Amino acid sequence: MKIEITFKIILALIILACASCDNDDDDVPTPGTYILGLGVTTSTETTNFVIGAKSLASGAISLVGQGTLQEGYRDYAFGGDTFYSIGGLGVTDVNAITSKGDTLNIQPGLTFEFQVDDFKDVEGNGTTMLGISSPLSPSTSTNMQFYTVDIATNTRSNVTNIPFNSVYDTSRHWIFHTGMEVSGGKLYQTFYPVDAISFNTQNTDTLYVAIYSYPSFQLEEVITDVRVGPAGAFNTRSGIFKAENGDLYTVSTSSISNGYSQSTKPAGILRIPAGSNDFDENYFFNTQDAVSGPGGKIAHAIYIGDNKLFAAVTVADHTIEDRWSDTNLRLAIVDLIAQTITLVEGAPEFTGNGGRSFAALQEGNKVYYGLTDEDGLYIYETDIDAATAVRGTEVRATFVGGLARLK
Amino acid sequence: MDLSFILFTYITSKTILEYFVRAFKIATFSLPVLTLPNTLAQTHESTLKGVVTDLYGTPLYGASILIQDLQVGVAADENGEYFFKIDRPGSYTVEFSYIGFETVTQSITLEANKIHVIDIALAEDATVLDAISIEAKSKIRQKREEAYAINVIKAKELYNTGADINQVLNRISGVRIRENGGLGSDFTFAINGFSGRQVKFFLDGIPMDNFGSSLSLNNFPVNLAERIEIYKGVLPVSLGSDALGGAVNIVTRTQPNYLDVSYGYGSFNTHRANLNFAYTNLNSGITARVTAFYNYSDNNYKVRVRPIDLQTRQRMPAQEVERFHDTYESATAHVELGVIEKPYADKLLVGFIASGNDKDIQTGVTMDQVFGARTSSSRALIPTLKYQKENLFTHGFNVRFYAAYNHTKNQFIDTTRLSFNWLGQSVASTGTSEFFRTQLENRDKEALTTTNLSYALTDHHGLSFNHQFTNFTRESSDVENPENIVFLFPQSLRKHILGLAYQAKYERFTGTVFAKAYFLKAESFEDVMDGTGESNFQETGTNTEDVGYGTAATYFILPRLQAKVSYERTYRLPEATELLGDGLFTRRNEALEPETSDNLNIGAKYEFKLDDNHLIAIEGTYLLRLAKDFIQLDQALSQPVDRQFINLGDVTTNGFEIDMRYQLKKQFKAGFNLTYQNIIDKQEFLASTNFQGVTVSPNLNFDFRVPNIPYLYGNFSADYAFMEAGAKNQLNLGYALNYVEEYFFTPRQLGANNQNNIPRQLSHDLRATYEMYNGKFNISLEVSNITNEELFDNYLLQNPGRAFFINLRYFLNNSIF
Repeated sequence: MKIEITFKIILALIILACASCDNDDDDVPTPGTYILGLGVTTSTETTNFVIGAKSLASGAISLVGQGTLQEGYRDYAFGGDTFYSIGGLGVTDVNAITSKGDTLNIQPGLTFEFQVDDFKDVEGNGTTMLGISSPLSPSTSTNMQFYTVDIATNTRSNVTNIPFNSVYDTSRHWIFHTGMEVSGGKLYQTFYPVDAISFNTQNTDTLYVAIYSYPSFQLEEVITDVRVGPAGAFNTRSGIFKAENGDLYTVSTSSISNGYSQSTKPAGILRIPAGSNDFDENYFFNTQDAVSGPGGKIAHAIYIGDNKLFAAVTVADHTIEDRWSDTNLRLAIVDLIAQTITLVEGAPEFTGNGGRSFAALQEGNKVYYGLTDEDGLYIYETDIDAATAVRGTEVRATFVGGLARLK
Repeated sequence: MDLSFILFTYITSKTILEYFVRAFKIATFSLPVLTLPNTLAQTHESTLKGVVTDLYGTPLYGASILIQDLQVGVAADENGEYFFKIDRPGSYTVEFSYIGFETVTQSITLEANKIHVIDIALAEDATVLDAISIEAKSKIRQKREEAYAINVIKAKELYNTGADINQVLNRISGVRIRENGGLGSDFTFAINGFSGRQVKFFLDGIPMDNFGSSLSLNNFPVNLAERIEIYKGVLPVSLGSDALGGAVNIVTRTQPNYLDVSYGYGSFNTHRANLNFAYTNLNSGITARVTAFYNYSDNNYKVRVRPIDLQTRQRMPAQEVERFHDTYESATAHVELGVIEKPYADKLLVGFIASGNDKDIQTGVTMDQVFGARTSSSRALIPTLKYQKENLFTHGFNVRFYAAYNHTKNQFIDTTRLSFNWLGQSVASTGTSEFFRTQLENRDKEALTTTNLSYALTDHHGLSFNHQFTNFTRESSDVENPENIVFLFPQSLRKHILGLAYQAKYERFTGTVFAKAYFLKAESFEDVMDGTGESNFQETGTNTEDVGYGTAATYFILPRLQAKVSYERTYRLPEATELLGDGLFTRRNEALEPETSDNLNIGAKYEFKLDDNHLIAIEGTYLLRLAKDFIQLDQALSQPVDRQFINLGDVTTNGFEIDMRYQLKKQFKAGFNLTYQNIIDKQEFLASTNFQGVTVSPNLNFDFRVPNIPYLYGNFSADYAFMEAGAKNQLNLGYALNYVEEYFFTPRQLGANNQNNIPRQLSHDLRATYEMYNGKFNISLEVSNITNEELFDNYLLQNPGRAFFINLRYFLNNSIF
């Protein structure tokens, strides 16, 4: 009897097992106008997915049975109608994702030696992506590496190594990349000095901008200004922005909640006029004064045209206890000319996901950004002119790492 | 390759061995020669020896062997072996008897200066089946019949194979060993879904978690073990440790006199050699034991990959390539000297272990990342002491004390400024290393003691007390990074684990209740920030206390039908880094609680015979695990810095294990086991403590299976022995099947067409063993993975394909002197 029952159980199990392995041929990802890079944190790990969506204004995006797994940690970028998912476990894989009829076409194959620290269409014409790998430790590399990727062929060229110590005295501190823009045939890069072991910041008195020829990446000079501290912060790419006329704006915060261990200068924005290698002595936008109450540090931002930034701005004073927390943020519209910061009404105070990417997507007068409110993760649709936001699509994931619109 | 060290280990062990052999020869032979010259006159001596088993080959420990005419008798040892020396040649009648078995008599003519062998298989006596006495069973059988959920591997059956202990354990229900590659590769040992620090390993009851990578289960040849005990979920107090999900205890061989030497060679230039030797002078009680083993492999098996073109950084088409930087070499010697069977000690042994390995590192977490120069190495020097005495001072009071001082150095080197691809090509790298420039050296020191006292209050009731102490200190340095503050402060962790158990034992019932107390003291350092941007490191420490408890009971419903129940609330104490942070990127969390689990096993075992020749044994176990508060790094932040170890996770496991065995006399054996474990994530919300309070988000894996753990797997094996009555030689053929159902690395319900699975795997092994001169000379030939299946583990790391291995073994069952 016993044997019979046992065998029946085993047989049932085998049938069950066989049945469960036959239903693997699920549908391919449903494409939509929009594409999102989503992170899902479960009790054991964080996994990343790319998924298409028809709308960001309503409904819900769910990964159950949908979306394409992206191995390892991921960074996202967009250029030339191509959405990039970059990362992996050990090797940095570059997946170029385009919309092809009713499906997403994912082109793998290209790899990078190091983690990518910034990847953007700096010329804005949809043909070339500029990438930089700026390792966080001299134990990985003593060079930063610039390169360009041809969007159409997903191939890399112009690989140039720049020794860190040609840009900054690395016997004192290491530096972390925080942003880059190309203007007038030159590449402008912001960074901040940091202790590579403790990540403490002992030099917060000076703003540094390295200027290179583009696309040959020859270092011209490193310009400094002591009105503010370094631009950008740990893992953000919000240190420098370019306006339509070629003027460059650097955004300094020394924000403790974004990883600085001290803050010795006011948070503010400086300008480098188009074609210049010098800061505009007459332009200084103190962002802390532009916000009523505490805060006023621009943690993350994108340029949305017309000399404006769409930003996440701190609305609290942080102490060393808040280090790395990326918190007490409000969405805001920053006017670089009028030197005003308007907090977006209708979007709550929120906590960022540690920087890395500020996955905000501008479409005309609207900006879409996913944040976690008291009910969960939602895309908020901000009206730029009115500086108001409404809650849109629910995203059933932990964070939105990338957001773009495909053709 | 640090051959000098391995050579040193060898020469040392050999020299030590030779020296002591000489010393013992002098000590044990010269004295009797001088004082008792008549011992030299025993020229007519003849020897009678053999093995007493039941019809299935199970040794009958304690079976009595009587030479009727002389009225001389001996008892068989735990291997069923017996031995007589008779100085009067002639014809005699020998009687073999054992409780519950039919008595057999045999005639034999003993000739002078000859060795006579009678191996005998006794048939069970149907009339006395009920009178099975636990005391008379073999130690292995006694262990198997304990109330705990335990598997006991009888190592002896595997001595001819040249296998390592991992290979053997992977065939046990509930156990899954996940290997990153070939010989010497990193592996994860899992019992019922618990792995890593949740499972503890012991060598003769001494915890060996920190012994370094050369003293791990994939280095140990099975030949050093008498038996291997696998406890699932519930641990006796004698293995006093904070094991959340189970433990493995390797019990080394105790035979007083033997020599066991083997050497094997196989595919991928794999060499395995081992020497096991024991010499005991049964008069003086002086004993010496030596275990030494050596492993080497190029591990240059073929894998299927897409190499990266080092110029364009584009991936090439998938192709088969040979692994080119995966050499592994390890050597270990363990020497023990002491006395046995003395009034003051049943066993008193002082020993020394010297061990080391050198390892090339071929890949990272995935096979995408390929290295051509990274290496690691480990060296361990461990003096040991073992003391054991039964009936000390008074009858029924038993003492066992084991101690070890473990001194381990682990080094990791990555200093080559080259990038490699799978074709073995390299280009100068712009980086300072292949991945992260380091010559990290961890120097661990660990004092370990285990004290076990037991006292039989009456014939049926007993108490036992166990104390285990470990004091672990780690110092690190890195010449590539001398200023790293982490290396300036040592970390230490001290643990006291006390256990008290009460046992009741009746004819059919055995039960125990126990409690364990865990005390922990950790010391480390942290960066106390003062807002200036400068680091301010200070020493820090913390203490914790916890109490666990459990019970186990077993009842023989019929003489061959056993029911078992065991339960324990287990703990896994945090490590120093988990509690106190690493001083840099991991923040302290003094509020961190140990991981806990309520583990329940309910099982039954039934053996029956179809007739006198066929034996069938079935064992089934239901298991329940309610594990909570796993200690893990907070995942909620995407920052690589300022993380904390937190208690997160609520996992329920429901599962069962089935073991079946069939045996036709000693000729044919077949075994089958299957494990199903439904490991479900019951964590509904993820709470991440932030300075603004607690951020709560739903866990999208709630109520789904925890990914990346095999949940259905099994083994089948069949062995046939070609033997003839009275023949000295025997041929054995064996087949083994290993099965793992498809499983997924990431939550399966999320995403479509995910390339994140390991498909169902089936691998077949074949083995032939030829035993000559009653097992003195043995040759074994094994073909593993005969169908050359592509086997994977972890993040699709490919394991070796078809491989051949030939093993030669010489075994002498008595003193070499």
